[in-house]
Amino acid sequence: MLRVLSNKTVNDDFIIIQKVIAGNTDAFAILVDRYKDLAISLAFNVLLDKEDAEDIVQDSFIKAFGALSTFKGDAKFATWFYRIVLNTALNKRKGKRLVTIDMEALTPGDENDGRFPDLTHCTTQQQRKYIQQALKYLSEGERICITLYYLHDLSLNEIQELTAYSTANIKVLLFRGRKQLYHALQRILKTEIEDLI
Amino acid sequence: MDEDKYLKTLLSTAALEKAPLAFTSNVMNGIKRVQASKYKHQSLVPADWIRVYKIVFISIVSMLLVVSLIIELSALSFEIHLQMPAILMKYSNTVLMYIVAFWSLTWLMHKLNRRTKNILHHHQ
Repeated sequence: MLRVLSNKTVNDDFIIIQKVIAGNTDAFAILVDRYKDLAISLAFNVLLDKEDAEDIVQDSFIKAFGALSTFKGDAKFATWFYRIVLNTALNKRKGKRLVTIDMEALTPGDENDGRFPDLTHCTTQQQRKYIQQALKYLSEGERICITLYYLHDLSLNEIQELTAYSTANIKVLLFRGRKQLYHALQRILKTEIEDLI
Repeated sequence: MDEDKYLKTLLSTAALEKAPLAFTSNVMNGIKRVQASKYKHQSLVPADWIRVYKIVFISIVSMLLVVSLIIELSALSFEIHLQMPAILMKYSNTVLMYIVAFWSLTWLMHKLNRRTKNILHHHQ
């Protein structure tokens, strides 16, 4: 199911924030429930580690709660909160060596038939496995942009506000990310089929 | 299917990380812990009040001592002016006592000043 932040959700967030600022701390749990999965996915795409991502998001929620009075409401709560998550994750990432995959191993080859690999016949578990493997072939910037655009459903302007990349840079990262994802999935599926045979 | 729509559907099912069941309660507990420690720092506990009373009491006594020292020294200088050698003998002990008292007071005021600053900083 696609997660689109409707105006109703945005207004609802704002009402909840007002309640929390007024002293109803428990109302914050609604925001935690609403954004936890997407926030963990964002942090995961920076850190590539589920436990670290969960810790970062937990810290980010506590930071966001502390800074809630500074939230002016001129942007969506989601965008404001994702910026906290992204900055916290990037800070954590600084001191950590990531397991990266050699990009040379992923050269567009004869598997290119011009269509995105169809995974609809796979189970959700298989889809998760392939997508997670494929995302590792993307650079950090590509991964962040792809996640924010396709998973978090943010606009280019919102991504620009969040990441401080220029719109042109985001478009390039999205284009390259899609291409890399496409080739990575082709390669992964090809290897899977070869292993089966 | 449109590639963008397909990618959105694919990523929202395959790339969405699920938070553990206790995640929300863990976050809320963390927030409550942070709040509790914040309030603890903001309110004055009985020990703090004792320190405040001590500072006020010592400050008043110190002020009284300083005022009396000034009065005494003024009187002394007036008497020295009148009868020089005898008065020096008479007041030598008093002068010594006040020098020691003044030095102690300066030291005490310095300590108190630091303590007050610490307490005020702690409660801001």
